[in-house]
Amino acid sequence: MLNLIKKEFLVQRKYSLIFFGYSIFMLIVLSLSPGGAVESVYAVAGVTIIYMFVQYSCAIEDKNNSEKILNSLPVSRNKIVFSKFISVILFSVFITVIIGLLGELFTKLSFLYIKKISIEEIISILTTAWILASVYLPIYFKFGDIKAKLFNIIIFFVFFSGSLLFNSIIKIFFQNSFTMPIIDSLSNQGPIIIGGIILLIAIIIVTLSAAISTKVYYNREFN
Amino acid sequence: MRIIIQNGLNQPIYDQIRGQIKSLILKGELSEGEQLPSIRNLAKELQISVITTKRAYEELEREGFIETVAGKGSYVAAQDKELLREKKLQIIEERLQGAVIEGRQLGLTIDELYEILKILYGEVE
Amino acid sequence: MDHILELNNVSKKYKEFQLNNISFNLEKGYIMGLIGPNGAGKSTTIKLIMNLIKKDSGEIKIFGKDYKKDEIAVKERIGFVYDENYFYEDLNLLEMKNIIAPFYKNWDEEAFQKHIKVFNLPLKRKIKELSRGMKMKYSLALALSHKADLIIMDEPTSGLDPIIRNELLGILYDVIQDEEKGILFSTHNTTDLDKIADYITFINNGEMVFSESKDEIMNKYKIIKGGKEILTDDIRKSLIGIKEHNYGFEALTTNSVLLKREFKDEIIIENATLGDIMIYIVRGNK
Repeated sequence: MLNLIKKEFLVQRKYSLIFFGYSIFMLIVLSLSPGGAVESVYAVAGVTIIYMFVQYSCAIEDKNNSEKILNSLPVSRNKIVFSKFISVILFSVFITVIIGLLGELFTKLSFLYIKKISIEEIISILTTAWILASVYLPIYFKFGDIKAKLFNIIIFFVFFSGSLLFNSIIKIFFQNSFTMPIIDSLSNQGPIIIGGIILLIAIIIVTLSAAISTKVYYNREFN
Repeated sequence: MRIIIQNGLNQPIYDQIRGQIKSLILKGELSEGEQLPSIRNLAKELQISVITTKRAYEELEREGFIETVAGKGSYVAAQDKELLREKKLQIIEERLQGAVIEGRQLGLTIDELYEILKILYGEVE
Repeated sequence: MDHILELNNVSKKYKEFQLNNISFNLEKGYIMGLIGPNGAGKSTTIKLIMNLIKKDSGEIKIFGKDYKKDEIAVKERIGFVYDENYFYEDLNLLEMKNIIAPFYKNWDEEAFQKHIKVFNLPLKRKIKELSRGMKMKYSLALALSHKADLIIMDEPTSGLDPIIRNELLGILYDVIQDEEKGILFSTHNTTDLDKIADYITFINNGEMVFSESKDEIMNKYKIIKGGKEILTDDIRKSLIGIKEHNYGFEALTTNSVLLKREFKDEIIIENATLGDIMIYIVRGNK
């Protein structure tokens, strides 16, 4: 399985400069002025790049029709699925560190309004990217990349409308007298515990998504 | 050892090989105990299928011309002198028969054929 | 028996196409050609064997084992070559090999290096920069470097010139020299198989026409040529894919001996090539 994960990075090697250049570009452009953009600079840059990685990864398989080879090798389909998930997780951690370090560097430049990356921002990059990947990958494993690309639009729609829905749910949740004590006790906790809980939820979603992926991939046909 | 395969003949390829190895043995060009190429090697050299060379060897074995030792290969079998002479006679008969058939198709009489045979016999010496 | 590959009544249904009751066996030490026109079901058969698609019914055994239950163990011993290269084209040959090799417990680096040398392949070149012939040889080098006992090739010669095709045949002869390996070779270009194949499985329109030794087939099927006056209804029944022209007819038959006895010099009986057999049978009696 290790060489499958290695493969994920090897085939995207030629995009590494794009990823790096894009990180610098986004960080600089989004933090040129004070206001809204600079507050979400890390999240926007991080999530975009991680999502690009997921997209490229699937597109490369499709372009080279390489799944026929992979599935003809003595390797289980589960490992093929897991290695994709693991490589996405590894990449997201890696890119978060990179943009964190870049941000650190850029704070020295006086014309930028960027601040140092915070733990909340790290968590929001990881959870958002992971949840996006958790939606995209099962569709890719079920239908292949071309159809998954079509779903992209739907995914974005669902994601943004979903976040609106999520907001209203949260509101109801917060106003509910039964849940109030739980919320209160939560908000009394430090940000690390709240972040930890959110991260834990994201991990559960990723795990569920991986489980669904192995199931649909097992029945996938390569014509 | 020389084996030439002719495509497009009515005679199947296995039979061509069988015939040619047999005549090599009868002519003494392949002597008793000599090892023959493996069926797979012969197939490779002649660019024909393994099954074809295998069949040729099986027929030769059945006729007693070769022996196959499992895991070792095929060898020219010891030939009984009497039997050999008989076999050779049989070949001569076969060939003469071919000549007779061709002659008849041309409308030659037995005397005319005999004349030809006499001249040829004198020529060979 | 030493069947390294066994298919029993394997079927697969698509919306527009159906593969019906395919059955054949391959013994070790031999080469089987899988022939048929484009779209006949050859690739579908191979994909079923490789478990790239799921069969609807039937049984597939490889090395005597269930191909699905022992999938990993079975695939350890299969070398495959597909018609198009399904490799990451931006990687060079060495990088791609480094991805593939660790999957095989029996990877034989020495054998790989030997094949690379013999096939004259540039390890540092990207896969997309290789010619078709080189890609095929590269696939073959990978297929032959992990002590595989069954080599499965799906249209390996399509788009290759006769020289490289002949070279491939030479390599395949080398593969079967040790009597332990078997080769399944699908092609619509039957001249590849006229020489080398031991067995031929012929699939037409999803149906199996025959699976027999090539010598039997060549013995059985003959081309018959003659004047149209002999084409009575009865005779027509014993002919396959009759082609009539202004001056006579040509057809395929499995009754050449009887027909020759009946019509003597009125007809000509000729040997058929695998290509002939395929053409006449596909044409059928319309």
